Formats: sequence, structure tokens, C-alpha cells
Amino acid sequence: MDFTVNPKFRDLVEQARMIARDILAPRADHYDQESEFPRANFEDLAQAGFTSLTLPEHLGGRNLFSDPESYSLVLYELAKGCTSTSMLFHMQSSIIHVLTCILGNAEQSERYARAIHDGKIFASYASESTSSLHGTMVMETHAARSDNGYLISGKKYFCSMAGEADYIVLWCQLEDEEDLSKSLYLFVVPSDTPGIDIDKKWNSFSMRGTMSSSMTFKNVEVAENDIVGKGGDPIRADVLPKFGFGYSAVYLGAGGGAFDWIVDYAKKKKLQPDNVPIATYPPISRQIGEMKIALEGALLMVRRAGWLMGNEGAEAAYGAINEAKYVAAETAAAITEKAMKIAGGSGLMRHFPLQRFHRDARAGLIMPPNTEKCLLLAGKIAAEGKAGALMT
Amino acid sequence: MKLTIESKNKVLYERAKVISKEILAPRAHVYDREAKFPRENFDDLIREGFTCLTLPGEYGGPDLYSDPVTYVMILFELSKGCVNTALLLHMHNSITHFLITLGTSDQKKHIADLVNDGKIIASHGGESGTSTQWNRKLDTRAELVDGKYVINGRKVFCSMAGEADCYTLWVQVGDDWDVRKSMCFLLCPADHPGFTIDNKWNSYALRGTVSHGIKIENVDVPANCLIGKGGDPIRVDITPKFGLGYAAVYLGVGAAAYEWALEYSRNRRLKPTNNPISSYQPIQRLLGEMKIEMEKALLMVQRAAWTLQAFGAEEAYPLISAAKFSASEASASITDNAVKLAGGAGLLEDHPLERLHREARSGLVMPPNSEKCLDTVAKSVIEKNPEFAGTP
Repeated sequence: MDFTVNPKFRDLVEQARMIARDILAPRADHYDQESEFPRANFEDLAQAGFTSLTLPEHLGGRNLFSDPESYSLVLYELAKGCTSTSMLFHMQSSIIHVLTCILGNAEQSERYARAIHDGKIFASYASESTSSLHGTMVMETHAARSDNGYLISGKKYFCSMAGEADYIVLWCQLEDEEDLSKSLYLFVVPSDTPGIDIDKKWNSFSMRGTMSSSMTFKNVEVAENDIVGKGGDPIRADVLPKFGFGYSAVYLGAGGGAFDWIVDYAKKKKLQPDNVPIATYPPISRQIGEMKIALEGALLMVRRAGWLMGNEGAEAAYGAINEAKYVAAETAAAITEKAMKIAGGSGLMRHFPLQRFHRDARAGLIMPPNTEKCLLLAGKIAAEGKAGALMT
Repeated sequence: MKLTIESKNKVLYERAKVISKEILAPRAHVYDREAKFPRENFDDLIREGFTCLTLPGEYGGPDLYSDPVTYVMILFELSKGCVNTALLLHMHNSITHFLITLGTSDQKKHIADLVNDGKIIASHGGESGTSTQWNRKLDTRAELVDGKYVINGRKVFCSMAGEADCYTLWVQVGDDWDVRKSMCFLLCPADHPGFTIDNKWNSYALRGTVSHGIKIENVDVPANCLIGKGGDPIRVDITPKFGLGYAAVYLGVGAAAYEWALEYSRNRRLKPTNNPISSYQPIQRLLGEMKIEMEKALLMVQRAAWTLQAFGAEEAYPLISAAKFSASEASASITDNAVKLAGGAGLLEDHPLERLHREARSGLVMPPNSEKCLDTVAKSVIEKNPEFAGTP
């Protein structure tokens, strides 16, 4: 057994921590309050080489998703500075990994890698209003063959970086086939293609910087060579679970950020007439102990899921990924709640980051797979004897 | 990170699983019901070499305290079969390790001879109404008279009272009230007439540990029965190791309840559907919660053990407290959930869950109890480096 960070990527985890502290954290409040895309953060992440981390090595990347555990630690560290930025970074990094390491052909991979090196931003849109990504159904968003490629029409919800990304990776169904395992494709669409409309209604309680408005597509033309992979690829076991896995690290980062802040606060805050920091009061110190243990346990669960995915593949890690998402989201929610009680009125103040972490952590509970879904899947997979447990 | 157990001692771990299932589990309810020392189990464990687990190589043992991960995993497995036996075995193996570590070469050989001869060594530290810290007068004290230590006093919660071959008493020697200087280990033969056992052990949980109170009147032992020097019993590289083993032992209770619940829900069918109840979503949800608690606590225990090995006892101290807290709270919650899953049957006498549910309660209170663990973790965060070993 070994609990150290993979030496191959350790530098990135440490660098992520610095970037979060020095660059992301000071700007986080602004992007949150203004509900603004963290463009300057993305420019700095590009400059630091972070936006190309998940490209394969021969295309100038570090192939960071080859070790999902290290990847998750990078996300976790970034999220401690700014949850929204870490989330968007994950969305771009994971779809880039899917496009260039798993599904894209050589020409496509090179082209998309070049765009990334040029500082272009990729978003990934899958969600529809009342449908899931399983089974047989007619999606709202579908592609019809045309003379030069495809024409896409439909509507997507929770489109993070709407109006900000340079390329949109659309999850949509080829017409005339309802079985998603055959008909679901990824299309890469330049965001300035005619026929795309953004509703600009994103005004959320949390994750405000993700700019996740809804988008409609009306006969949007996509070139033949921008359809990636084959039918059903997006919901393959080695593609889809990686998104949820990353969410667990990002949301746990909200808990980690809140924990660091409240410990620092409790170590400095003194109440008259006592001249000792409130961290030494037993009711507060015991809560610091609780938060620390919960945070460490959840981080181990996220790392374990990543380790399993890296060593045994995403399908074998599926149970562990759901376990990690549940425990990460619930832990971040619980820690931010506790921290708020310790901070008292200060916790509610806009000029402190705690209220932002508290709001952002709520999104972790509901973002797919939501925590109830995670519990059901974890139990179901365990009951079927496919949990990939290490216990036996 | 690497979560596989790769150790030359892995064969012992594999053997522990078999012993637990085939030897310990079938007898567990008898020792519990009758509050009887698991003598037959110990006979078998002696034959299997498991009472020599911590003997150094030169005395024929595998020196398992140099491989704490394997050591705790063995306890975890044994505890799934019988928590009483696993706990007592841990006490014997740990005190053996401490005495051999601290003793002179003659003493080392003497202790190794005893253990190799199948003798069982108990460790009795508990006193009523006092802690083992700070300056104070212990109930149990020894004076050096004519080359012999004469011991008088009283100990409580003396596991294996009347059953072990030797008692290791935690005794204050001389007039110094500073326990860091005056508290010593004295290894005494259990058949000394000065020991009176109160035979009052009738507990709700851990009934097989037969932890009676012992009155000590003019027990005189040769001077070479004092092992080590003053303060040794409460050294940071000694006492916390007990806690690490307790964590593994108590987690074994939760694991047994979880495995029982899993098996039960796969086989239990209710009319009219006749589907196993594991296909019901509310059951899957419960199983999911149990599984996640289990995996998280197991990681915390393994991580503490790994830290002990890689960085030493001082570094591991807060992690051991975090592991103990996680393990005992997890087992308490898992056994609660298991009873919910089993329905009324789980409350019936002689039902495995009824026993496991009781045993799990003792994990919460056994030192370091859950609140003390929180305190230790909080202090490490507030006063020292807040990062646990292995954190990026």
C-alpha cells in the first residue's frame, strides 16, 4: 500500500495548489458576484500549460487522465481557490481527453489539440430537460444528414460557458434511430456557426461563474469531419463516468476551501474577555476534528475511485466512482454547513468566501449523478457483486 | 497511491480470512452469550502461530508491527468472525511487541520464550476515575523492597482476567507523581496469590473479553519483571498503536454486519413478486450508505497504518485517532442500518445482527473514545501541520 501522490504528476498537484491560492482565490468573489465567465483564469491556466494537460503526450500534453487519481487531485486543489473555474476546467479537460485520447481519429485529435494550444476553449453539452442518457428515446437534439455533413437542431440545458467557449461538443442523436447506444454521437461545432441561440437566463444560487444558460440549435451545419467516434460512444463505460468522477473532486474542493478558511478564522478570532482563539474552545475544536476527518475520508474515496479507474478501467471503477461522488458532495455540504455555524454572522458576509463555498457545495448534491442516484447505484452494484471492493 | 496489499506476510492475511470464517465465526455467539473467554479460539490461534505475530524474526515470528498494514488487515478479518477474539489477540500481540521492544536482551528472550510456549499476555492499564495523563497518584503502585517490586492497588477493565498467563500491569513506581517518569510496565505471573478477581464482568458488549476488575495485594515480583523505564507505557510510539488495532477490530464489526446484510438482501424474497429485496431501491439505498461508510473507514485505517510504517508513530498519531473515530462511527451506523434492513429478526437474541449491533457500541467508548479522537485530530490541525501524511 502507498498513499503518496504519483511522482509523475506531483508537480502538477503542487502547481495547482499555488495557482488556486495566488490566482484563482483572489478573483473568485468577482466572478461569483458578477456571474461572469472566469476568462482571465482560463488565460492564466493556458499560460501555465494546464489547459493542455489531458492531451496525449505526442500532441504536447501530459496525458493526465492516464492517472485519474492525480487528475482528481489537480481539480480538488484548483476548486479550493474557485469552484466554478475548476468545474469548467474539468469540463474542458475531460472532453479534450475524450476527443484526443479515446474517440477522435488522428486528424481530428491533431486539429483539436492545435486549437487547445491556441488557447481555444471547448465546452461539452449533453443535458436535456426531461430525459436521461440511457435507453431508447428520442432526444430533443438530433442531427440530420445534409450534403456537406450534418444539420443539428434542438435544445440543450445547463450549457456551461455558453457564449464563451470557442467550440461546442454536442451530444446528439442521429435521426431515425432511437437506441442511444447506436445513435448518440459527439459533434464538434465552432460556437460562431449560424443557428445557435443562447437564452442568457443563467442566474443561479451557486456555481454562478459557470454561465450555464440554455441554448437552442436551428439547422446548425456541422462538417463531416467533425463527427467524432461512432454511435453510442459518448455513453461508453470508459467515457461517461469520467465526468462524474471529476465532479466529485471539484465539489470536495468547495469543502476543502471552506475548511482551510474556517480553521484560519478560528485560529485568529478571539472573543473578549478571553484572550485565546476560538479554535481552542472544545465545542469548536471538536467540530474542526469532525470536518478534518470527513474531508480526509472523502478525499481518500475520490482518490481510490481514480486509482481503480486507472488500474482496472472505468467499468470496474463504476461503483467506486458513485461512492466517491456521494461522499464528496455530502461531505462538502456538511463541512460548509458546520463552518458557517462556527463563523457565526461572518459566515454570511459576502466579503468572506465561506458563503460562496456553501452555495457552491449545494450544487454538488444535485449535479449528475446526484447523491440519491449515487447511493442507489452504489447499493445496486454492491448487491450484484460488481463493486470492485478492495475488502475481499 | 497503491491500494493493493503487497507484503511477504500476505499469506497470514489470507489465512486470517479462513480462520475467521471457519473457526471464529461459528463459535462467536457462544462466547458472547456465556460471557466466556474464547479459550478454544486461542488454542487454535496458538496452533496457527497467530499469538506470535509480533515476535521479531530472531525469535521466530513475522514481526508484524514492522508491517502495520498487514497487521491491521489481519485484525479486521479476524474481527469479522469474532470481535472478542480479535480484540484480545490484538492486546496480547501488542503488549508482546512493546515488552520485547523495551526489554533488555535477557527480558526479550524470556518474553519470546513465554509466547513461543503458547502463553497469553494481558495488559492492564485502566483505573477507575483517572486518566493515564499528567501528574497524579495512581491507584496501583510498586515499591522496591529487598530486590523485589511489591505491588498494591486495583485495576479495572482487565481483559482476560483469570485467563491470561501473565498480566502486564501499568504501575507507578516510587514517589514521583509525574506519570511520564514513574509509570512502568511490570510483567507478573497471573497465578500470584495476591491477585483477586472480582468476577463482576457482565457487559452489554464485548462479553467474551471477560474484563473483570482485579485487586492487587502485596504482589511481589523479581526486579527484572520491570520492563523498560518510567513513562514507557504512555510514550507516543507505544500507546497509539493500541488505538490503531482497535480501529481495525471495531471496523470488522461493521464489515460483518455489512456482509451479512448484503447476503441477506440477495436471498430474501417477499411475496408476491419473489424478487430478492436487493432489487428494491430503498434497500439498495441502505446498502449503498453502508458500503460507502465501510470503504471510507477502511481507507482511513489503512492510511493510518501506512503512515505508521512510512513516517513513524508521532506522525501517525492524529491519523490513528482519525481512523479510530471513522471506524467506530462507521460500524455504529452500519449496524444500525443493517438492523433496519433485516427488520424485527435483527433484534432477536442469537441473531448475528443483535450481537454485532451491541459490539459496535463498545467501539464508540473504548479508548481513545470518539470525542477524544476528535480532540486529538483538532489539536493536530490547530497546533501543528494541518496536513496528514500522503497529502499532496
